[in-house]
Amino acid sequence: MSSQVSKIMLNGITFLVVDDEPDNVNVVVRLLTFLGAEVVAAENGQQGLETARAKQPNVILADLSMPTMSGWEMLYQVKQDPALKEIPMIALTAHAMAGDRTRALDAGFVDYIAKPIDVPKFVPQLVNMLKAIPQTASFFAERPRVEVP
Amino acid sequence: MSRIQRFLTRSVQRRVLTGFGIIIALILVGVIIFSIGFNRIQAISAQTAPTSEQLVVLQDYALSLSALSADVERLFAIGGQGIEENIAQDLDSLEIAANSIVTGSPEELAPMATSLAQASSQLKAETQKLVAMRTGDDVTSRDINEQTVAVFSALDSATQLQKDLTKGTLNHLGEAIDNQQRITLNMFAVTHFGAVVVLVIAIVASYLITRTIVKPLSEIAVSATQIAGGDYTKAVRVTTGDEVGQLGLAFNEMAQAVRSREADLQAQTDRLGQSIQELIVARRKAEEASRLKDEFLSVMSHELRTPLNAILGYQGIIELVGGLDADNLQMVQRTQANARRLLDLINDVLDISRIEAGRMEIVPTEVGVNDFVSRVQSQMEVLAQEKQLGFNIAVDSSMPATIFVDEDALTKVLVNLLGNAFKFTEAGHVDLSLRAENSQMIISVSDTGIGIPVYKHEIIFERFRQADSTSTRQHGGSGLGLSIVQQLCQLMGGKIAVESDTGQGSTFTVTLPLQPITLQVREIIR
Repeated sequence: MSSQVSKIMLNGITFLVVDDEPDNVNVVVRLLTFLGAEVVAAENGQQGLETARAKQPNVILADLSMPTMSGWEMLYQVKQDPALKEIPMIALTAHAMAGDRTRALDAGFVDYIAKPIDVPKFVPQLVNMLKAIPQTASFFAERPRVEVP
Repeated sequence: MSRIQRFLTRSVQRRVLTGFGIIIALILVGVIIFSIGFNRIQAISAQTAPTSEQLVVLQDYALSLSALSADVERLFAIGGQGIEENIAQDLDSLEIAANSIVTGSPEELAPMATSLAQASSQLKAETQKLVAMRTGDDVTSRDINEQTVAVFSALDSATQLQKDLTKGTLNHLGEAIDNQQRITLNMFAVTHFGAVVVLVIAIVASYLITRTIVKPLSEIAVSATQIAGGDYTKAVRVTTGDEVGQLGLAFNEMAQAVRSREADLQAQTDRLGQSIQELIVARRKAEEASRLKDEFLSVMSHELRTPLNAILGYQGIIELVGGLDADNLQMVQRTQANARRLLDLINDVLDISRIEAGRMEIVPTEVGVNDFVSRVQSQMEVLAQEKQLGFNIAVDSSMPATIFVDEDALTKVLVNLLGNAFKFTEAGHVDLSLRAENSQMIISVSDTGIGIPVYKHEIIFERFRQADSTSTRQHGGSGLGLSIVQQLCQLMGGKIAVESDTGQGSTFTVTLPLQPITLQVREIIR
């Protein structure tokens, strides 16, 4: 499993992680950073919008239930904003009951990941997603693969 | 008066009979009046009949006088024995007629009749004297002339009397006829008046009788109509004790009974309505409870996953970053394994709760078989790789390209069965095969694992049970997986069967209805 993971596999990709739970933010930020990505974080939808405007991330990983502004509302605002609407948003949520996935995709999230994340499964899952998303697919096509020793 | 009233008001029959009695009595009175009048008329007719005969006799008398006058004149002009005899006959006729006149004369004309009789006797005497003079000696013509004058004078007075008497008789007859007419008219008037009176009384009596019968009856009819319309306030007014009154009383009793029965019915309806209301409230409460349970499960799911995310996440990173000695790495890995087991347990408990709450909805959609199988394959392959087991998937040509299933439910079933197969197999291979038969889809998951003794085939589908109770510790798992699988199969309209024995491996066979998607179904889904 670890043979498939490299420290530069997410090189050049800027992530915005939006979650109100500090541990969740911490886990995702540490993991993505370890994999070579640029990561900025916000603790609710409102902050997320501001950070997105400032940093222009390539992908947004957003929780759904958050105070001040939920992931749903943030998605709506992003879609309304000409400067942000092209940024793909992936739902990263502990809402994992039947129908939650469909609801998220119907709302406009490009994909959906259920918490808890299990690192050995999460990394390939995320990479496959990013490869499938037109805005991020290029990051994997151009770069030569460098394996971690 | 009140006694009569009481008598009459007690029975319609009495009233009708009384009415008929009165009318019959009136008719009898009429008949009596009529017969009295009739008798009177008959009596008067009896009086007028002799008067008419008297006129005939008077006529005879007048004729006899004329005959006598003519015969007396002829006696001197012609003479002879024949004439004398004629005169004698004439005189006899006169006498007979005069006697008849006296006999038949009405009382008031009796003196005049007696005068006529005397005049007749005198005429007879004078005439006989004259006849005797003609044959007698010593008679001068002067004597004869004088006697002739006497005869004619007697004739004149008799004629005068006859005329007077005729006139009187005619008057008498006229009076009698007038009288008869008057009485007839009176009779007529009395009879007509009587008839009118009888008619009026009959009409009044029938009106009164009818009124006492018809009026209460129509009141009952009005009440009946009102009751039919639901208005029970108007009871029938009962004023008599007769059959109609009894009908009214019976009607009122009936109305009362109907009213109380309707009130009972209304009360029952109200109670029913209340029960229905209670049922509705109870159902709403049940629905609310179910919704709250669903919400609770959803919140529970969310809240349990959030800390697990931190646990699994941090440990994953620790392992990924590396640099741990073997001992520490093993502890991290064991922690991770237990965290995953906890996650599986949470998922299974939530699933079973949702199934039990009836909130597990089966929503079939059109699913491409090959895509579906590859998704399952990519999800489970990692387990095969970890244990270096074979993983063979066979989709028979009998399978249609698309199937109509709830993908989430079927995925859960296969992931569970395949997960078990990999878990209990140490060497060999795990096979997944799909085929269609008799409009059913048959999915088999078989392994070359430890197998399940036959006597435990039943209990493995029970909750928190594994074939070997020690295996929970050895193999992990909540013990809920097969129970969930079985219930999901049933919810999808299918079933699951197991074929296995100790050391023989296991084959789980899921049979689901294969509903070929018709155009209609597709239309409905869209």
